[in-house]
Amino acid sequence: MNDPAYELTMVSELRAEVPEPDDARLATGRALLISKAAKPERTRAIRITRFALLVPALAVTAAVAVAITYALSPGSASPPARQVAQGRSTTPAPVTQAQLAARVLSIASDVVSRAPVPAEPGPGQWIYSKTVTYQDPGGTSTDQEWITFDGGKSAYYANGNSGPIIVHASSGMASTPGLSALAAFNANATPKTAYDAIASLPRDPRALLDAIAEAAGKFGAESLAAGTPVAASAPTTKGQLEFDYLSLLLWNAAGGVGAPGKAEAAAYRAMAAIPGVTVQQGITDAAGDPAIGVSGDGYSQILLDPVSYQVTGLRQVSNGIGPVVLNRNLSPAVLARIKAKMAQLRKTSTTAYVKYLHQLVAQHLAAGSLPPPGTVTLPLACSKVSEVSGPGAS
Amino acid sequence: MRARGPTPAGEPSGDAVLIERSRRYPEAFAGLYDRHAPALHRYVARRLGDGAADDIVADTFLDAFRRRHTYDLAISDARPWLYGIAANLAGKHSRAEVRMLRAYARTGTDPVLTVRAMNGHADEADSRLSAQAVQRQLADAIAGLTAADRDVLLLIAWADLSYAEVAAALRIPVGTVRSRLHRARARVRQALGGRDPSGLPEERQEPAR
Repeated sequence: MNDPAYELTMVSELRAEVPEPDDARLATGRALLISKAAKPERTRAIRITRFALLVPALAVTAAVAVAITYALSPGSASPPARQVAQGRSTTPAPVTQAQLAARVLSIASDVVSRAPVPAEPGPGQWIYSKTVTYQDPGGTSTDQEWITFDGGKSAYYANGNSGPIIVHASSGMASTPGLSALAAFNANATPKTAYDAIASLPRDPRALLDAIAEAAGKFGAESLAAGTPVAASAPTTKGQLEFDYLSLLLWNAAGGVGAPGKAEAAAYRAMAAIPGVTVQQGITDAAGDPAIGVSGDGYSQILLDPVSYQVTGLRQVSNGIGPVVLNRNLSPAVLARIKAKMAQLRKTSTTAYVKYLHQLVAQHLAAGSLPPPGTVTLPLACSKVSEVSGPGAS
Repeated sequence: MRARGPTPAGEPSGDAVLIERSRRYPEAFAGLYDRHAPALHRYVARRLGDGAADDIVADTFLDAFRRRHTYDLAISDARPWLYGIAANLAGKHSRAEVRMLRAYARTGTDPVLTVRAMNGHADEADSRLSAQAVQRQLADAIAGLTAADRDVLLLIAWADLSYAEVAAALRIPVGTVRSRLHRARARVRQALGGRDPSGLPEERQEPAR
């Protein structure tokens, strides 16, 4: 018993005779996993998009951004039912777009700041949300999930929208004391961290955007771009970074109870101050409800309810260059090489980076993988969010 | 000194490569299963028995698969992630775990092994009968730990994770891992009739990785 760690040795020898399982024993679990992997993804994609801080739309376009212009004027009494973005710069007046965006976002800001302030839920309060996704191919799918305000527990149907409900506890997700609200959101996106993060933002647009840029920067370009086909790509302008991060924050909050009205109002005002922000009216979200789209100069777009101006959806709209879908036949090795080169060039020379992107597009993109301008590639709509007594109730 | 699990990925970014690949080709996730399910199963089976391990390991990988898009690809070894998910799922069985440890301490028959014996592992039935008193004390001490302390102790001693990996798995600071482990070791040493726990060396050398 001279071993200073003898008690650990004793523990490690306890039940040491338990062997590793044989393949037969593991076969069932493996088969379950394979069958899951073979199914088109539904619940997972939504949950991930909402709560795991994926920014779906930060890819190659960033560096070669082409302005999207909308044939809308501020004076039009009844906006056309469906606007298609034009990838041409012949349509005049970016000022018009900026003014329109400023006007819509100013109204949005007024409306949400006057909305009744809901009490902040308790940490264990269950929130039910129903999310509609449109994927091509695949069409529309609806997913239901429950999450507690603090994100400590979540629940979903084992088989899409029926069958047993699986409840997950995340006891280790307790917040780390001393983190700023934005850092806490970066570390763990839950309805509460999103609520707190928005509530913590400065009310002055400039100061708010600075805080966002800082938090988005700390979150890391790699993480921001995770899940995109070209994961090494990331927003290259401050405006894109700010817009994407702010959208994400609002979208995550919308999956919970939103955020205090005054704070949301400040977020909308700040959004209007981001260069290149445009609005698109008269569109429909994935759930079929009317919406107003607000885009940065990348291709993520958040959707607002035209009456309440609450965030109801998030989607990607092609500007004719992206979202880029790299050829699926590329081997991981080639993909890794491309990413490494992109990362390196981005650090050294913008010109060389953009040139390389063009070269990439020419060489490696799958034929037809560039959606025409205005194509909506991944719409998500939050059709219903409510506080409930627990999983199974809505 | 400790039984090491199977060596994970050969190349440094092994698991992350698989996970990233599975985002485009979901079936690639099976590679992660083949790599880690055996050791994870053994770890859970040591805590809860074969039957519960079957379920928990299956659920762990299903859950991990669902979350594969959020995995931080900078982390090449997925074990902390997987053991963290498994710890969550196993948490629901905490009372059963304590009950089995207590039964072992009381009777000298380990339910975790008995079930195996009933399933045809007769040789193990023999070995469990020779359980020494010290092992029974040990089981009792582990049963007496809080679930949080037990998680840390067993992830270190049985799953062979480093302090940093345990911290990542349980999403707690490394300092908390140290303090929980210190407390758990003190309790175990006390139960084994060791020295005054305050005289313990602060911690043991962290395994090199």
